[in-house]
Amino acid sequence: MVKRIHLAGCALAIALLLGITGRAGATPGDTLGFGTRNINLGGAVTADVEDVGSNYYNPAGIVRGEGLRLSVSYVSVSSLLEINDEDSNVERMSGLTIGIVAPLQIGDFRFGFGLGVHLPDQRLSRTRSTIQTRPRWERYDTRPHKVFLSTNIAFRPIDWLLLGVGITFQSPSDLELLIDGDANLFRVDSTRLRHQFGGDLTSTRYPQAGVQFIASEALSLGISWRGALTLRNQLTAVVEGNVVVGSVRAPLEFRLDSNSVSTYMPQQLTLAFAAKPVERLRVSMDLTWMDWSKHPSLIPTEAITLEIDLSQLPVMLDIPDEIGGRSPIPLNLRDTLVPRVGVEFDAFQNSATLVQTRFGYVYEGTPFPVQRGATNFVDSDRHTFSLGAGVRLSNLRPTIPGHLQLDAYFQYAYLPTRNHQKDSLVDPVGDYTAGGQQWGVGASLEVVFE
Amino acid sequence: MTRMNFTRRASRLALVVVALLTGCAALGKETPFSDPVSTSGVGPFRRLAPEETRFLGRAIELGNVGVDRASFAGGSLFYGAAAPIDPLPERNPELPARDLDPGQFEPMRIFRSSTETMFGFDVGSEILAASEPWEGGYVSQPWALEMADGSVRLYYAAAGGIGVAVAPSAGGTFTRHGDGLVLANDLGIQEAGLRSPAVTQLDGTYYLYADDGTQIWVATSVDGLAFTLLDTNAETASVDALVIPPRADEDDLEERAYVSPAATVATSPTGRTTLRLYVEAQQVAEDGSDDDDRIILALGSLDGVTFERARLPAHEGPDAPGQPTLRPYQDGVSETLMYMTVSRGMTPQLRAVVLAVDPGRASFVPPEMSETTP
Repeated sequence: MVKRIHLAGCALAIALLLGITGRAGATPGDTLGFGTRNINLGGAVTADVEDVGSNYYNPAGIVRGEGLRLSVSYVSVSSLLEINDEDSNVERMSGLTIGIVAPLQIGDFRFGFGLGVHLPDQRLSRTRSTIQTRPRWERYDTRPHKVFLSTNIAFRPIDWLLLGVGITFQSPSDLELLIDGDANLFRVDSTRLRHQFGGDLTSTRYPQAGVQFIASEALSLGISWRGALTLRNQLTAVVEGNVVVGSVRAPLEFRLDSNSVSTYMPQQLTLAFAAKPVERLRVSMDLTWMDWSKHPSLIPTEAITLEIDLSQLPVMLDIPDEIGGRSPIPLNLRDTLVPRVGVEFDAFQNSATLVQTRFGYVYEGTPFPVQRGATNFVDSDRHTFSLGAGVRLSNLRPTIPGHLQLDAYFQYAYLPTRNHQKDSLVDPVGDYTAGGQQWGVGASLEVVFE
Repeated sequence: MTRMNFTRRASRLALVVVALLTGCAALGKETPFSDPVSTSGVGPFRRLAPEETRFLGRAIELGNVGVDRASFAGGSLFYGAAAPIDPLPERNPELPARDLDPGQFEPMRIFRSSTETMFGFDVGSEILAASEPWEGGYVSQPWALEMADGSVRLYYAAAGGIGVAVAPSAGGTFTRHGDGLVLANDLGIQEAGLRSPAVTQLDGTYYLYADDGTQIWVATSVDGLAFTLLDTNAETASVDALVIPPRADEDDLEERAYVSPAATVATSPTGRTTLRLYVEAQQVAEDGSDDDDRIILALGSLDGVTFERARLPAHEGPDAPGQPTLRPYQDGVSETLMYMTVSRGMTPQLRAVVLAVDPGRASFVPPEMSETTP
């Protein structure tokens, strides 16, 4: 039992965290959260998380509990996000979350490992290149539709200090399309083209680290850090063939090189506390700094070359003198501070059952500026409220040597309408308003072995 | 003991439920991309397809009759028209090749049609013919403006300038306001008589745009019944015409004249009110020939005088589209329809009224046809 906060230890841990640098990746957890109870508490769990959510919120929590934990949950968020009062068809974000937390002890050495996986149920990964002139909800369109895999280890060198580090994996893509053959201008049925497609889903990783300080039975503090992630997609398309008119063949060579950032998640630093001011009540708060201002442009860099010898063709083809590609446009995002609040109340308890009710709130200010120029990355502030409950069933031997935890929540998010007024009166898209609502539900089952 | 059994059963039931949820979790479906957004009115306007219209893309079928602009208000189509003179006089060689030559036609008069099926109007009946001395024997190029009280003002071009006739409703009888003249030509500064009037109201002021065959002039009025020419450049001693910003891409064809303005005031979803102007730009052929290429430009303004030009044309086509006018429309998405005249490739040049829509994704194909389309 720890009775006081060890300031020297805190300073050491903070210095350790800030000293870590590295490249990092995007997570569905930033949008959906991770673990039903944690989402229900608004994500304000960095200071005292000990379930499978440790793999996302704070890896130090892996070594906080006593027993092995296995958890499976399903979460879903549906959106009614609108642009000019028309549904933007933002796809439901949902998936299966599986996790394990295994705290171990060898002699006095306490350590543990954890594994967290989020599998989207619509598809394993979704990437849509940016259409500059088509507004889209940038934070909800494709970012959550990714597989999340995080592996972590944690240590508990002294009873009040928990340290954890981990790596999360993501997959950028490298695609190549090759086409060759003859294209007959006037006899389409004589056109013979062969194509070859190749794709590599490579791996990229980003680090995360966290600390928990157990100041007392009633107070915990936490710090966590996640590195930034840039998912780049490389697309190369090459056409080598001939344009055929009658018996005349004009060699054609076309090449498109597109290099884009499909997803970027900023590095994040969270400071948190969790307290039990009275026996049955837990309150917590997280404050997360998100380094959005380093967001690279989402507009692809494209280089296009077209070479064709028209001199021998007996027809006139209108080929542009110059085929332009695209260049990145700065997004000018701003850093944000995200406050999260969670409240948990033990509503009922006896020797076999514990019923808890929970409430959570998150305010996420949008990092995206009003879209006055050529880009149309739509976003708004988000106020998220969660309400739910959990039931712990104990005394389950011999079926289960431990207890079962059942959790469920309902979540509502409000995104106030925002006006995007263009600097140009003749912008191809024009002015628009954007706002909406989201609804989420989730349920989980966790087995905690004693 | 009973409580223990209940707890175990509950835990087993929970395991089954979670297993079922897990199994169902992979049943996803693809969602479509959201529709593009287009609220600035710059187009591009898509020409309505034959299957979307009654007359294979045309807004009215007039046979061997020349049509000189069409304008919509209050459910009616107003158009200037006349039959060719027989025998046909020589064409004025000064005119652009695909312009209608009024000298080859009987005096132009203004007609109204109020019966429409699938964007196709029946042939209308005459509502206004020249009767005032200043009109010089013809009235043409109507611009119909529907007022808040349902009355309609019909601005038109005649020999002496721009006139107006008023009716209590689109289907009512049109009578001139006084002698009808609202803006007389000022041939001291204009190259030729004013024509193709377009009138709209911005912040309580009426703005009238009209061309002199080369450039566009703007006049203002507090009541829309008597206009004063506006000097668009106070730094010069003379009265200046509207400044149309030059083309953004120097590879585009050079433009020799801006004519046939169409004006409307629109409020964007964010509440910003702009005056939109659509102008027929007549281009100079790259090879120096007398090819008569035209595009329709879109421009926007906050004050009705200083305009910003859209980078791409609002509409272009191989049949020399020109004389745009607008028709607001609402059918699921907020569309704007644009009437315009196009070359019919005949002698004499008759022109035809066609219809285009922005945004181009709007579809007017009848349900029974779209169901059978593979």
